Amino acid sequence: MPRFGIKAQVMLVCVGLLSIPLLSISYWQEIQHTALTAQARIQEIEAKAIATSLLATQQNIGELLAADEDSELEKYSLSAPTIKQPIRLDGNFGDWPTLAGQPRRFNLNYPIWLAEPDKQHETAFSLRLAQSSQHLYAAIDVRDDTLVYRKPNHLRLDYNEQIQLTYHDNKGQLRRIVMPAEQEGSLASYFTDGQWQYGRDLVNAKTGAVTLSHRTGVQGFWRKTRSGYAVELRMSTDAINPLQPQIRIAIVDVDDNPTFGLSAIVASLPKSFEDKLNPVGLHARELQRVIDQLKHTYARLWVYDSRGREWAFAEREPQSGVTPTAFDSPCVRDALQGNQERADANIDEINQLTRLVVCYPIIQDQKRLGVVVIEESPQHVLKKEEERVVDIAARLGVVIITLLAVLFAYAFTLVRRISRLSEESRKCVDADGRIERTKINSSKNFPDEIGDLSRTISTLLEKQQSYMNFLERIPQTLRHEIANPLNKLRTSLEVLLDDKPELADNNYIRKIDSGIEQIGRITLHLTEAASLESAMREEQLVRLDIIQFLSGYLSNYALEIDICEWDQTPAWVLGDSSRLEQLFDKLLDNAHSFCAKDGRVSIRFERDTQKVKVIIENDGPLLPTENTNELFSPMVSTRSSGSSIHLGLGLHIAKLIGDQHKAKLSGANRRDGSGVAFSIEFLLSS
Amino acid sequence: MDYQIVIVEDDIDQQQNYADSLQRKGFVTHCFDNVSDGLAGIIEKKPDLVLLDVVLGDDPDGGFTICRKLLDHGDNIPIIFLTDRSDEIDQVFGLRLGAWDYQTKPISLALLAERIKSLIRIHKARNTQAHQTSPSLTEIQGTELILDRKKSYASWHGQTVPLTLSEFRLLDAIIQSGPEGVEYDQLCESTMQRMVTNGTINSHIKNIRKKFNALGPEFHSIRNKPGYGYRWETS
Repeated sequence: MPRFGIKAQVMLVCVGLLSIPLLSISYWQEIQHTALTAQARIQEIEAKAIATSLLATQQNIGELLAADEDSELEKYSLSAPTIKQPIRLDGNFGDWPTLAGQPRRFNLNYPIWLAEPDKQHETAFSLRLAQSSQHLYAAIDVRDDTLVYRKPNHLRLDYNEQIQLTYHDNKGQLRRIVMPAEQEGSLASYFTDGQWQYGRDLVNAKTGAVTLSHRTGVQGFWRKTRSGYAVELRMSTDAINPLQPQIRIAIVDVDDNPTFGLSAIVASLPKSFEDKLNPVGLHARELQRVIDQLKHTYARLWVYDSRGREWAFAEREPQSGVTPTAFDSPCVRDALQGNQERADANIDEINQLTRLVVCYPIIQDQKRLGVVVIEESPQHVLKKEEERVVDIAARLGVVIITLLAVLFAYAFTLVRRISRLSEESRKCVDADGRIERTKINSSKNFPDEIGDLSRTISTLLEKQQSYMNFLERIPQTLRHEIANPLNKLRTSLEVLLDDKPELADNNYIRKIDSGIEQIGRITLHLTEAASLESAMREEQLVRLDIIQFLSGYLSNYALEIDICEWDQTPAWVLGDSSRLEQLFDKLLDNAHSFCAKDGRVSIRFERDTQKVKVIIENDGPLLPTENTNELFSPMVSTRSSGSSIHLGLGLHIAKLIGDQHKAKLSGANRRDGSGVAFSIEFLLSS
Repeated sequence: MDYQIVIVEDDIDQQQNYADSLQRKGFVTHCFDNVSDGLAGIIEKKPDLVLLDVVLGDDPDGGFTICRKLLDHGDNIPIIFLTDRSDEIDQVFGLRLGAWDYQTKPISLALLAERIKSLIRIHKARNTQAHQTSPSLTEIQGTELILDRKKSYASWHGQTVPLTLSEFRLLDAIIQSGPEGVEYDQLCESTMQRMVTNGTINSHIKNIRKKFNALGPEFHSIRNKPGYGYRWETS
């Protein structure tokens, strides 16, 4: 089964936690939908309120919006887009915002009068209108190849290039203003009459108050251009009749300076409408005031009449590149057709939604006078929500990250504690399964499950240690139990032989004596093995030359042995000579015990820079391969050695002594299958 | 000879065997099988030597109790522990209580008799020649070691080395063998014990070295002769 550690598991949980922000995306979409739906509803209510308010507060709204205009004339209506910033009157049109739209051109297709109808005339002009909350702006660019200026000593205003402006004042009176070409600079303008020849003061018929002819209220700038001249002017919207906001512009071209004869008159209306004025989409001041109060609430608001004329407009801030809601948009059209609840956007398609438009009709006496249009940017609506969501998401993110960090730290702490506990537990038991210590310090003072585990392991080790001690005491106990009866037998036999010396040669007495001797040796071996470990713990190893030791040892070894020649250079190891003697006694005795009848026991020596290895081989029965690992276990004998006593303790004792010397003891069958080789590998002492 | 031997052994059969064997060899024996009787008997009989089993009846340390009380009583009777308890800690404890020897079962009665004779002889020698310079003193050449073979007494750098009889015998055998050394078999015989192996000899030698080293300068004169035995080196 592949390993799936706690760290990996925690990582997986953390990845799961990271999916929470992903889930918040769909939650955010739900919020967006809800917010936009609510906004649409609010806009609808607001539009309804505005429509109702307009009907309630504007006494003349019916007259205003339902003013019957000549449908033919309507084609020549002039639009005056709303501007936020005032335009500098300097004759340059560069500061006109793009919202003001493209200039409308008038040429000789709109001639009023031509001195020489057959002659080709160049006279033409372009006109742009714009309105602010107080003024109507006009930019007039005239093409005229010959400029004739008014002379200072001329009273007449028609002996020069001139612009004629006609409009209805706020009292419905027709007013005419002539703007002669005098010089480059401030525009001169004068009230005049239908002759357009002299300035005429205005006299109030009721009060008798006189308005001087040059106090037209028109401000402007006259500038000569390469193709003619340009005029930039403005006049108060209060001066224009709100019920009939109409103006007409006419350009009078005077080419013949000596005679001051007119060359052509080009107007903003064709000659067939000579007595008419161009309708201007001038905002109604009262309606505009109502709308302006809401301009900070919505992106844009309009009031259209049923013909599509814009009567009021307000916007929160000018936006470039955004197409205004046209009168002929489906929303406006539906509203005018009676559908009162239609948002011009599918809120479900938030990603494609660029604006949220609500239209509500203005209905008076079952007659649809116009429509209130409220447009809002979804981004603006969602911005505050988004800020809140971003704030929540940020807090959530911080919490999640903190949580993850804490979780990681906690997991790593747990893993580290478990690892330490595992490592310490592992070290409590040596490679042979002997318990080296029973106290686990890792996590022992923690009041949690790992602490419980640590304490449980300590308890288990203590119990196991007790059991091991019991097992280790068994040979000693056995020896104690055997010693008394054995001593009884031994002393009885001795007393018997003292009493009857003739029995000394008795065969059975000899066998009894031999048996007692064997039992005595068995108990001795048992004791030796049992007490060896405790005795060795107190012994200190000293540095000795294993070569010299083996040379001396083998020279005194009683049994026959083949000794291979080896390098006599000293090889220093840490050891105890009497224990090493015991070790080699066991290995050589073992080799001889299991040697075949005519077999040989040999010893050889291998060394390198790090270690030395002594190999003892014999000819004889092989080790059963399945029990190789148990060779050195106590009381285990894998081979029969005939009739001699064999408790399986010799190799166990050899292993204990090898461990004491940190030497590696191993046994294996020879490759050629002729016998067994035991080797012991010592680390060289530096 | 008529040496008085008190035997305190709870196993009547073994007690009888010890007594029979020792009586045949001319000793007078008095046998007891518990602590109170044994202690009373020893005080009453004032024997030349006491053989004590450690475990007496239900008292696992009965022999030690008797030994400690005799020591408290001021008696300097040679005591030999004859016991099945072979742990080193028991041997050390017994010897520290003042026992002259500690023998683990099974024992040889013949060797036990010889050991008893030796200890009685040593005891008498110590008593009669106390405070006198013993003519049996032998100073080992090249060392600060002095042996008194009659008293089985050894001193090193002027200090007594607390050797048991077996240890003294081993030391003496090694010293007498000189640099040539003495074989394990001879050393086994010199201990006058049964069931002695090379490992037993090695244990004794380690104990001897420990006792010498406890007195001061490092003691290196007993050298192992691997596979053979031990030798004496004076340098």
